[in-house]
Amino acid sequence: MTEHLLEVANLSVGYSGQVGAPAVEDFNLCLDRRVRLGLVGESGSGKSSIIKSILGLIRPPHTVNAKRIYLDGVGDLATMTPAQMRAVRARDIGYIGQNPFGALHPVVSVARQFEGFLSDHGSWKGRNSLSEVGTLLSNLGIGDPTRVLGAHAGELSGGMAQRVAIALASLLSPSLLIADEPTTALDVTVQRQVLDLIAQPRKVSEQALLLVTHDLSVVAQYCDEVVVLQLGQVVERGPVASVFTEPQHPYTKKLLSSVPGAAPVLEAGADQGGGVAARSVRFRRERILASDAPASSTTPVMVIEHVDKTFRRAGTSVAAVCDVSLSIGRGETVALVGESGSGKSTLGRIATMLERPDAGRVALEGRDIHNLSSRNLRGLRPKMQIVFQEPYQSLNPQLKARNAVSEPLGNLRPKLSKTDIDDRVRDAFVMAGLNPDKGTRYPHQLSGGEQQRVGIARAVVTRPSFVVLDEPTSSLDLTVRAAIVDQLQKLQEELGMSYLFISHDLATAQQIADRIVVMYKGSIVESGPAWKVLTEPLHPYTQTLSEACLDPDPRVAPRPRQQPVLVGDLVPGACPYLQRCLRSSDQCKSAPKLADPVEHRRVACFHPLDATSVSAAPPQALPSLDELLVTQDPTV
Amino acid sequence: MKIRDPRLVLIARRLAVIPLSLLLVVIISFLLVALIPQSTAQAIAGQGASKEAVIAINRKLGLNQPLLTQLGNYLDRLVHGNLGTSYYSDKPVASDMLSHVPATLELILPALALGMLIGIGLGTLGAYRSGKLADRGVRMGGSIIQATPEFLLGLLLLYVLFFRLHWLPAPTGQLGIAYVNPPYHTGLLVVDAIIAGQWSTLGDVLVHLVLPVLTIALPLAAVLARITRAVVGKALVADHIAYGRAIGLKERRLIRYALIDSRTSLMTFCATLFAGLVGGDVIVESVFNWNGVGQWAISAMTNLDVPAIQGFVLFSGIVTLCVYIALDVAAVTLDPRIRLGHSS
Ligand code: SF4
Repeated sequence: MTEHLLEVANLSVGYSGQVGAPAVEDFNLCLDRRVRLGLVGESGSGKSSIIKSILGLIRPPHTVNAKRIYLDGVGDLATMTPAQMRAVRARDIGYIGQNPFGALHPVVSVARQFEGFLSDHGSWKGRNSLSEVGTLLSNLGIGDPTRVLGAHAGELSGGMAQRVAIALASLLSPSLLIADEPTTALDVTVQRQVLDLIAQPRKVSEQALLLVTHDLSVVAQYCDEVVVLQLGQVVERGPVASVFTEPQHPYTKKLLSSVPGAAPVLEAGADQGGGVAARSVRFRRERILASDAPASSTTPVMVIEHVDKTFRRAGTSVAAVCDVSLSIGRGETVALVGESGSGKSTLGRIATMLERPDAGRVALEGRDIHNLSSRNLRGLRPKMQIVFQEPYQSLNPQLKARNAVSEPLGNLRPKLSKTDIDDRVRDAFVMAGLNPDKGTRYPHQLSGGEQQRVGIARAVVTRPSFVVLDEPTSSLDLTVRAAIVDQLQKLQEELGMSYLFISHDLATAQQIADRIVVMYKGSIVESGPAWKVLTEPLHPYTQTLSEACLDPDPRVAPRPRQQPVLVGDLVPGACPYLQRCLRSSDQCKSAPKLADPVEHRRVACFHPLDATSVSAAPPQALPSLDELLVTQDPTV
Repeated sequence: MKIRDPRLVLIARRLAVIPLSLLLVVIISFLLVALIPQSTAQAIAGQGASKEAVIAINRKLGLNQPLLTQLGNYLDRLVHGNLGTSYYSDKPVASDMLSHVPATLELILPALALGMLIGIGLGTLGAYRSGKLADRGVRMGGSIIQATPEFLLGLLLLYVLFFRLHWLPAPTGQLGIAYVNPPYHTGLLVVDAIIAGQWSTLGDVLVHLVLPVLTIALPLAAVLARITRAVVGKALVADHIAYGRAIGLKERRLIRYALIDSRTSLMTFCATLFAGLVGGDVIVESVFNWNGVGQWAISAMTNLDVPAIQGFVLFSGIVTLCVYIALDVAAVTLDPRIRLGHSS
């Protein structure tokens, strides 16, 4: 078969009346059968517009012009009527979106949605169809398809919901699968499971994959070809192996150097163009190699002791944080890593007095912040600050950037004079890498990266000794992310601040932190030097997290994935990880205490791993979508 | 594993507050009358009545006793199903009022149904064709109807459909003058006529219903169309609709999904509208000579017929309460989001 499966020629997309909407100009693409192509770009690159026009989803008044959007076996999509296009979607082009919950109707049950889907495509055969769907779901790793079919969107986890979406996308065996950031909204530990399902190399089926993503590591590990987009134009394209090792375009180089480097590449001395990330990782490594001992040997700035916090809502209580102790030395960065619901953000809020603990002690520079007179408190407040995840939401839209930054200065005693305030604000802008002229702008007039820099300026304007960074980069574009991380590290060197860096991503944490603390369901399960925790995890959960980190170098094979989804019942008093753990024994029915089997490292597990067991991982058991597509054929 | 159906828990919780709400309704209906500035006895006796006559009336009605005692007596009567006796007609309030209820029900139930049909239908159309001609037309029509006072709307309809076109009969109430009520079974003339097999009477009842029903239904439809346009419009831009489109669902199904998504909110609005109608629509009832609860209540009020007013307040309170409870139960059953404790 010499003919391309998909051929897009001279595609342009224009948005009428929407300022700043990503337009696409003269885009060309050829995609062969079996090929997995990564479409990479940051926000505004036009990648979503491209797939929307292939799917025929862009409606007037917006315009799509293309010489040809040819799908083999179907025809030229550019000339089809909306009704013809509707039939093409799902039958010939499968689609998986970013937000798995967005895929599912909140009120209609999953089974009924499958029914609606199949009958709209003329393939509904009653009970038979449902049992086929059930089989497909269980092949996709859903343990209890009957329950899932009877469920509603709100009763499913993100991973489950995404599997349902995958089932919808593959049920009619389309020849092309389009996945638009399919894992961005998922927990890290689930991301790889989903990618393994949809993006394994095509061995049996001929389906092609168009994977839209901002994550270069995903492309490195799961794609054959890559197209790099910037501002609606292709800047580079080619086989993944050559683009990633010898990028030609400066933008591609910049993107690649912004990836939070996974350890092995850098250890091998591969300097990826001397980008910011590479520099900061080197910087970290020097510090870590200089002393393996954590910086907590110096006087701790922040001490958290036996902190508990339980939230009660509608009769049920959720233990967000249980018995957590942690100390952070001067100038040290501790990363707090865990999935959503692990209690990491709550702990960050407790450490900055945004939340009161139920029990335990939190001391900043030796003073218990939750038991101070309001007078003493005022003196202490400017010494701790927090930077939030969503820069825009954390800024008051009515306040100019300058005024937002000067706000925390109001807590300083004695009061500053007007000129002093102006000076301090100017300094803060400069420290955050922001032109002080932007001070007159309102938040909505700033880009995402600039907004976050305002957030940082606001945090450092009081010269705090301790700052909580609550996922400060996760809502930002990759290149912006790297620049922000770099800025934060420069600031730390200048001001000697201590950071508590909260993240769901071990690779990012490893890049910025001296020490990593891993939380799971409210408890610390592991802590140790950043380097070691990522590469030689001791706790089974940390291992899952580290497996989730994909290497941005396509030559490095992904670490084998060990953890299938296991959902058991919560056993009270047992190890919190028991339901998902492959190493558990009878002993695990009681809760393990944090112990330090290795120097400078702590782990709460009866059967911690050692370095050798990581590489001796068993192969994964689930089939990939590729095989499933051939084994089941519901269109008959 | 012990799982209690959260639906049942929620419903039980709602039902548990009924006694308290009922008591509140009763007390309010009692106190409402105590707040009336004019002395009831004086009103009954007339302006020129002697002091002795007023005192005698007060004693006879128990109005000279302390408020709490009066409340106690009132509650005691209610428990025995006795709403009291009208000061004027000397007939028991309960049966008097209930004899007017069927006429009102016969008016508002079809009006509500018609209003919902037109309103939700056109509102959905407007939401789907947002910004297009159909949407603008619906919105303009709705605004005009909403801006028209109800009596004027009734009179206009009468003028056109009766006076000019002679399509519909004169506003002589539920039946033309040539007809007599069918034998009493339910009080609902439509039903009674069917039971009696009096088909020509049935026809007459139906044609007499058209104008008043339209007069109530059109403003309802206008309100509902506006609300539906907003609610369904929001549902139509939800992620799952965009996704449904991307996997090739038919537009018809997407609209249905949007409606299912919005049905709890729409139900709530309809229930509110219904609760506002159970007291009867005084204006429409008087324009069309309709002998419903509304007319009856208005005459009780102008006469300061205390037991009748109390009975009326109690009646509308209880019906409203029932409607809202039914609504809650329906919402919990139909909407898994409520069941699962998600806000929206
Ligand atoms: S204590 Fe047992 S169940 Fe818990 S993580 Fe360790 S091995 Fe797994």
